[in-house]
Amino acid sequence: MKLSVQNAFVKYKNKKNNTLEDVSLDFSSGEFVAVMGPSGSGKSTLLACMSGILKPHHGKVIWNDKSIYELKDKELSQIHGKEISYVSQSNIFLKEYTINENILLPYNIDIRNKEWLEKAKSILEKFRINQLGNNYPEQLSGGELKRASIARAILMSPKVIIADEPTTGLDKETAGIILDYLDKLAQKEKIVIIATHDENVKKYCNNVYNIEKGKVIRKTYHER
Amino acid sequence: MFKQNVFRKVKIDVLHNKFSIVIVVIFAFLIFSGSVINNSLRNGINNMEKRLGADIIIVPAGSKENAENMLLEGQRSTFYFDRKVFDTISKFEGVSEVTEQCFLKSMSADCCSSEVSIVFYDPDKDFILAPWIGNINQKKDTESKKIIVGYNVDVSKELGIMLFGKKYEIAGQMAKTGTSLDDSVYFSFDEMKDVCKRAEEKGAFLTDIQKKENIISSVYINIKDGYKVTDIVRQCHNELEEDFDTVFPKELTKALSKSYINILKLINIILFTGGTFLMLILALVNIISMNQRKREIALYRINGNSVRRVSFRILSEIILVNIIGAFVGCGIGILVIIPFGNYIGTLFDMPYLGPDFIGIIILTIKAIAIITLLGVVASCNPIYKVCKIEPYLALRKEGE
Ligand SMILES: Nc1ncnc2c1ncn2[C@@H]1O[C@H](COP(=O)(O)OP(=O)(O)OP(=O)(O)O)[C@@H](O)[C@H]1O
Ligand SMILES: [Mg+2]
Repeated sequence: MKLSVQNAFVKYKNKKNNTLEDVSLDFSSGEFVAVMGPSGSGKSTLLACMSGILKPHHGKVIWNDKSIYELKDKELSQIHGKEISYVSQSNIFLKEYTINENILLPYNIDIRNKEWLEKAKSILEKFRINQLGNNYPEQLSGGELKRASIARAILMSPKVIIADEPTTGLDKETAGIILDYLDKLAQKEKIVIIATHDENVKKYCNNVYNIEKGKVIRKTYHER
Repeated sequence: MFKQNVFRKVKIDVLHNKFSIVIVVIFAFLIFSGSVINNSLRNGINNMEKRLGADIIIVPAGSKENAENMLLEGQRSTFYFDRKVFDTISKFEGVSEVTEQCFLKSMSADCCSSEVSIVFYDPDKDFILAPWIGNINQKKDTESKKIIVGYNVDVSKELGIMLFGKKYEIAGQMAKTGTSLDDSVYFSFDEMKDVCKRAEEKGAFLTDIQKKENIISSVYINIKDGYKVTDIVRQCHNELEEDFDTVFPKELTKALSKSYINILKLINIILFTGGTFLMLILALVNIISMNQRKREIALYRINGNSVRRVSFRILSEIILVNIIGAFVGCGIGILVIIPFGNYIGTLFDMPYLGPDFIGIIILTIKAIAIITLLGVVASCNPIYKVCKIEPYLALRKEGE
């Protein structure tokens, strides 16, 4: 399994400069990758680009030989969540629904579907928030929501997990739970890519990419 | 479990669209009441045309207005002249059909809770009542005397009816007119003496004129082909000994049709301007609410829903909300418009025949269909636009 970004350029409408400029990266199974860099350097933009939710103005994103932005909307939608999952920087939850529902509904899975509900519960359990499944989002803390957010992203056992700052603002212990879990996924031959400011994350990662002003300035290899 | 879930989904859907549902309710109310009023006025006129089955009506002098009111609104009033008038007219040249009626008075009767109007007619010559008799009892029974009753007279229990201590057989019942004609009971002229006597025995007060046997209230005339109204009226002037007034039912309907068209125009203008205005607001509300929900929509998309699928999902929600809103709007319409139907009729000075149960259901379904269609039209574009935004741009919160 291979995910690669080829000569990606992204420019936002109201910005003078390119936010991503000629970025090329390759990832393969079992890799745990951190994208680091100062605020505004383009980490989130890069992750979105790789996830198939922000089309670069120039360049390609190739997933298993498919150029994903050249796919039809329906074909691309079949990759989202099932093959490549994205966890956004902010926690997006539907406030009218419980955590369990928030995990299942976006996949069009009914809460009465026992099999999937069990699956959701077991993931929440690994994140140690299984007792919160029937609570509403407003009743959860930021760290709990973040974990629920990641739980949702991995429900379908995707092959690539891309998480934007999954540990920012969390205490060491909670961050540890999340990183340990992502690490396990990488060991199961998934590709895990996160953006972070957290230097402690490095020890989990094989590769750390440093970007500045939309360009990759350094790639460091780490022994895990 | 299932019901609870459906209920919850509906609740959440309505909550999501709480502003647009208010507009939909108002909109549905407008359309529903507009069509009910339109429908009732049209039915009123059609119905009136049916019961104005004469070219000319001759009434005693000075009762023209009362007679017209009776035709239009079914308001009974008493006026009489001598039966000779009828006999004379019967011999006129150019008369194809002629029949006479006599309205005695309205009084309480043992059969009915409200007062009934006692009318006498000529079963052999009649062509006025026949066209709008709803159901006719074919049973031949020589013993009891036959009468025709209006729509409101309760005859469901038995085919016979007790009036002033005597049992009558129902020969037929009139279709609904929505006017006080529905409370009428039509006796043959043969019964006149008997009915008057019995009514008096039961305590009804009759004037001296009403006690006479040879009185009638109006003469209905149909003209032969090749003759004109003026031919008949001229003969009336020449030969009738009593003063009289003429009523031309067809002209009445013509005037009514004209004012109906004007009212219809008014209704349409209100519906059109109100509708356009509401559609604009609805579209605006949809744009705002879709923008508020763009993160939710993006969430569906990043979890594997195509633009189409998400659009349909939101659209079906909007359709559901529209149907609910339209239902409520029609419900309010039923509560407000139906009970005040007769008042609306008098307001417009028009015959007004409100829809029956099935009519209401049909109008409700129509209104719901129209509203839902318009709701979809007003929301399609905003939905599609927001669903198409690149998920990342939709997901981002300020300051990320
Ligand atoms: N939708 C947008 N419209 C315009 N400019 C944008 C948009 N999204 C991001 N930018 C700009 O692009 C640049 C990179 O943003 P991005 O969010 O990718 O940075 P980041 O490295 O993730 O920052 P942080 O560490 O603060 O999350 C920033 O200068 C930002 O202002
Ligand atoms: Mg970021």
